Formats: sequence, C-alpha cells, structure tokens
Amino acid sequence: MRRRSAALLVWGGIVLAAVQPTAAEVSVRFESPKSTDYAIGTTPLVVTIDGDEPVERVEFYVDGRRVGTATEPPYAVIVDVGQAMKGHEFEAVAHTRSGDQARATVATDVVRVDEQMELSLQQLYVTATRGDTRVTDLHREDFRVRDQGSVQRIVTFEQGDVPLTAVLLLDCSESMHGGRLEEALAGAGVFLERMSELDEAAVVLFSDRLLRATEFSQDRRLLLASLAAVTPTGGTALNDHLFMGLQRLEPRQGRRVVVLFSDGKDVHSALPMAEVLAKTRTSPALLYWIYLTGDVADRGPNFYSSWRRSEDNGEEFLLLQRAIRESGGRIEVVTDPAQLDEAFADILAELREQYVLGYYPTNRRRDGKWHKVDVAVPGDSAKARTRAGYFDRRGR
Amino acid sequence: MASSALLWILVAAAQVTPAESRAEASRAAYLEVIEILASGDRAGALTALATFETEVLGDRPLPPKIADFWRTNMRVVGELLLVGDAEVLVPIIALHHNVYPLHRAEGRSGMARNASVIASELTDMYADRSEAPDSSPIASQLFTSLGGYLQESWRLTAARDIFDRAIQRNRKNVAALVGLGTTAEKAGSYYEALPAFNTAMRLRPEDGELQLRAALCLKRIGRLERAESRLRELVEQDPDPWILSVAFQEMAGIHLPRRDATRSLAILEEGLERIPGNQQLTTQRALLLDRAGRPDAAARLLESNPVSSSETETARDTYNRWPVEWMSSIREEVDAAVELKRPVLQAALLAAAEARGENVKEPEPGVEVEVEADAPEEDTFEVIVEPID
Repeated sequence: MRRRSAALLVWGGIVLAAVQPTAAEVSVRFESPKSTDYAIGTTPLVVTIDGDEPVERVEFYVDGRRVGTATEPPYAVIVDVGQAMKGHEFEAVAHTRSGDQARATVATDVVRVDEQMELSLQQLYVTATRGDTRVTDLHREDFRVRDQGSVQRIVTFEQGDVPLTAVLLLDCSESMHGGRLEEALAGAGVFLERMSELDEAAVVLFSDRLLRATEFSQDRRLLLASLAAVTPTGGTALNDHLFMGLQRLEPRQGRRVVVLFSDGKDVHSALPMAEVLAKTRTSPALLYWIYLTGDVADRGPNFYSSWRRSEDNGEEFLLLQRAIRESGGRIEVVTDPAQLDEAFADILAELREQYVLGYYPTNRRRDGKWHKVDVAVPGDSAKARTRAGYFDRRGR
Repeated sequence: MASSALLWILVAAAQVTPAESRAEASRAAYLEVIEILASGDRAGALTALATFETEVLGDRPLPPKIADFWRTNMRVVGELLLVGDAEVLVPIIALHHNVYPLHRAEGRSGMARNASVIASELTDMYADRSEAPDSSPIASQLFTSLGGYLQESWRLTAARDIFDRAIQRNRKNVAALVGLGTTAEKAGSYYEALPAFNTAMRLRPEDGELQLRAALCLKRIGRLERAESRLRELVEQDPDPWILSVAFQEMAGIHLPRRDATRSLAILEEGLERIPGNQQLTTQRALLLDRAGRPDAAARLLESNPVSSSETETARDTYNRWPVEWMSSIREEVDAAVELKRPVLQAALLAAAEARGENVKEPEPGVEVEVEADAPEEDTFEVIVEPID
C-alpha cells in the first residue's frame, strides 16, 4: 500500500450529487461515497436499488473506467482511486433482467490543504491459513492488526474480488532448458487465462537482459500471445528485472502483485539485491516467487560467478527470500516442472481469497522509519500472513 | 617430485614378470594407441585411448587399478624414452589431455581426473628432461590447455594449480595468466587474480578485457578510487562495446552504495550517450530516480527500455564466460607442436620395435605405423627395459 501523509483542507464539498431517473422501474442511489466525501486511496462504492424489478447486475465506473460489478445485494465494490488529491466521478449502472438500465452518479471534490488532518490509510493484503489450507470465512472482528506494537482499528474490510494488477516475471535463461521453460510458460498461461475480467497484467520475459515485455493489459489474447515462441537464452539478471517489475507497478493503483518464476540464481544483474530489497520495502506490491529447483545440475545458491563470491551469491539468494517474505507473498518451491501450472494457478487462487484490511495508523510520526506490522487471528488456530511493515514516509 | 615418482614407476615397470600377462595385453593395446597417434590420426587415437582406458579401468577406477594402468602406460613411454628423446612425449601428453573432455562429456569423472593427472605429470617430466630450446614454452602451452579443460569443468582448484605450473614454465604465457586470473576471480580470490591480470596487462597493454578485469578486481578488494581511475582510462580508449558497457555500469556501481547520486548519474548519462538505450545503464538510472523520490519517472524510463540483444546488453554474460579465444589460440599452438614432434615419435616407435626384435616396415611419413610382433607367446612375453637414471 502506497502511503502518503497528507495535510488536508476540508473545504468545499458537494460538486455534484445526482440521482438520475431513468426509464427503468428501478432507481439507484449512492450510499458511498457521498458527494461530501473526499475520495483518496481505497474507497468503498455502495449503492442501494429501489424498485420491484429484479436486478441482474450493477456495474461501477470511476472516472469513466469500469472498476467492478456486483450481482447481488449489497451492491458494493472496493476500489483504490489512488493518492492524488483530486476529485473523482463515480457512476453505478444497474441492469434489470428485462434489459432496462438505471444509473446514478456522484462526484467528489478535489482535496485542498487548509488544516492538518491525517489521511493515510494503510491497506494490508492478508492470507489466512490453517496448516496448508486457506481460511476464507473470517470476519473483520476476527483479525487483530498491530502497527509498531499498537493495536489498530480496522476501518475497511474486504475479501475476494478486489481487482489486481500483476507483473509476470519469467526467467528465460539457459538454465530453463530441457522443457522447464515450456512448462513455465504454460503455467503463466493458466494464470492469465484465469484472471478476472477487471484484473490486468504485464508479461516480462528476461534472461541476462530484457527479452520481451508487454504493456499492462486486460486483454488475455494479447498477453497470451507474448508467451509464444520463446527459447531459453543467456544468463540470469533477476535483481534488475525484479526491480523493473516493481517499478512498472509503481504508477498503477490497487492491489499490485509480482509473480516471479526463476531458479533464483542471479548471475548478471547490475543491481545488487540489497538495492532491490530496499525497493520492495517501499513498494506496496506482493511478491510471489515460483522457485524451480531440484534439477540434478542444480548447484544451489552458493554458485561461482565472475561477478560475486560464491558466498555472496548465497547472500543474494537469502535477500531475495527475505524480500518475498516481507512483502506478504510467499515462495512456492517446485521440483517437478510439470507442476508449474498448478503453482501459478494456486497463487492466483490465493490472491482471490485474500482479505484486505485497512486502518489509519494511530502512531504515525512521519520520521521515515520502518513500521513493523503484524496481523493475527486471536483465539483461532489460523495464521495470518501479510507484509512485514512499511516505511513511514517523512512529512513535508 | 612428480617426475621422480614417475621414474620410480618406470624403473618398477622394468621388473615385469610372466605373471603379468594381463598387463602385457594392456601394454600392447596402449602401444597401438600411440601408433595410431604417430600415424597422424589424432581423432582415431583419441577414440582408441578413451575406449582402451574405459575397458581397462571402468568408470570408477580404484587406486590400485590406476597404479597398474600407469605402470602399463609408463612401460611403453619408458621404451620410447630409451630409444628416442623427450620430444616423443609432446604428442602423447596432448593425447592424454585431449581425452579429458571426452571422458567428462561421457560422465566418466574418475577417468577424466586420471587423464589430467597423467597429462600434467608427463608435462613436468617432459619439461625436466627435454633439452629442446622450445620445451618450456611447449610445456607451458600443454599445461595451459589442460588448465582450460579443468576450468571448463569447474575444477577450479586443480585449474589454478595447472595454470600456475604453466606460468612457472613460461612467465610470459598470457593465456595462462588469463586462465589463472579468471579462475581465481570465479573462485572469489581477487587478491590472486589481480596480479595475474596485471602481469598479463603489461604483456598485452592494448587488451581492454584485461584492463577491465584488473579494474574490477581492484573494485572488489575495496580499492575503489584506483578501480574507478582504471575504468575511466579504459572508457577513454574506446574499447569493444561490451567492455565499454560493463565499464560504465561498474563505474556507476562504485557510487551506488555510497549514495553519491550526482556522481553516479553523471557517469550513467555519459554511458548512455556512448551506448544509447543500454538496458543495464537505464536500469541503474531508474534506481537513482526512484531513490530521488521520482518513482513515476523511473517507471516511465523503464517502460521505454528497449528490448535488444546487442553485445552491450549481453556484456555481463560475456564477462562471466571463460575467455575461450585465449584457449583456442593456445590449442592451435599445441596442435602445431604435436605435428612438429610427431616424426620424433614415429622414429622412436620404430626404434623401440627394432629393439624388441620385431619386424618393422618402414612407415611413410604420415602413414600408420605397422608393427608385426615377432610372436612370443602372450603369457611368456617379457620386456627388458634398461633402468633409467
């Protein structure tokens, strides 16, 4: 979750709040946001439908872009509108079973600075598990969030259909020969095919250099086409391309994810992993690493290269593991390339089943220091996994 | 030391008894391999040696079996040394060291190890015994070529030892210095690699790769200012594009941990002016932008990173590979030496056959030597070899 401490002016208010009557026998009304609200960061969109005619679905739009669909009451989705202190236009379109439409719009105002007020929602993407099984029936009150040891009030809670933006980072180096790359590409294909309508992704193929990269897109055909006709080549510059993946996610909004497929042996990067770790700590992205290992030729992380000592290569490997863990993602170890499609699919399933908890930290100092965060499910055997913390950015 | 051990084996080999008939059959097979070699059919000799060794030793030979094998081989070599001079060893050494990669490729690591030991011991023996003016350079080339094989199979400690022996025989052998430097570098022994590169650089001052490797060793041992000034000198010489690419990346990298963004940025911009669009330099530049609180600008920069496979993009991979050009030229020199010394081996084979009382047909130059044994019973065959002092 990208944080921005903002001193805000509560000024102005309604620009437009309209309930547009339509020809349909139903009407739509925004419960959230209200025109008196300022929309920054995660924003719940909730509408009420009045009328007798059955509603098939309600589509939600922010600034003209469709961001979600609800098919049953409560008609609600959660979106991240970004941290920019600007106004937004929200629209809900209800489609009735008879084919009629009803719509409502609400606009929030630009936020202006006048008086000091904290507005820095921290969002945590949380995976809960009991043993090897993910737990999907927890409620807001089941979780306890601590920030620097202080228990926080969870102000937003969501699960499931939060759209995601993913970078699929696929290692196509020579070490992926012998059918390993083909299996990985097939696995990536499964991930792309199973993405939800509102999810978007970019595909990045790399070795010791960038081999291929797509724009972010929701178009599965385009993304799948990028996986065709790839052959293993060259060495591995994992750090450089992980940094690139994180950086490309930077201007995106909402839940951001990097899914890395690699044997984890960086040989050729110009950037040390320590630099990339620093980047992962300021990035909101969740990192998942599908770690293909177990080949008979696998010499482990302490391998020789002209760039680093063997033990330094081992250290890079540990830092990569640390970056993954701290982001709230996980490492999926795969020894049989035939299981790669399962690994990709399971990561997507996990993302679908995550909880999204939001809170306003009560102990912000804006001192640039690391805030340790932990999430637990007290009184339950379930374990909660989320990012290890965040940097409390310095105030202006 | 190694030569003395070998001489002991040669002396011991003289004490052959009839009970050692199996060894004698083995000796005959080895002799046949050498004859093929002397005929000029090097590929045939190589295949014959690999087959012979595999049949005698198996995939995982135990030490006693290896000792017997050595004794057999050395009986043949001893015979040739009695009738010829040390130059006969050159083609034989080359043959033994060329069988090394053949065994490795087939997964016979024990056999490969055995081949490298025989080749290196015989090389020392050759250098110690030969009176030819070119013996030291030839021995050095043979060691270097063997070192290259060991390097390629990641036997780094053994390779460093062999390259070191090559340098002892010829201190101006640049390929051996490069071999020692790159092996030590790969093993993370930068204090050992640096003098090797420095010496090679003095011998080949125009070689940009040597300058680059020496500068990077300085960087890794913490002599950052010296490293940067060497890299600066290098980029001003307009070296190969891949060298230029690595030099700029590493120069900028010197300042990244120091958080001297201005200096790093200036270097990266200069580098990108010389190598427009280079991926690694662009990535480093994006890091600096991100650190400076401009993540969106960094993202835009990386979005525009062009996909290419030019040699400046694959430069880090090139640096990480063994420098094969040096090894190719050394192997050409070894091949030339083998051809030069092959007639000596042919002559020695004839003389040895005559000494054994065999009817020998005079070979045409470059034609396979035909040897007809004077038919002693295999079980009672006995070779008398004069002790060598």
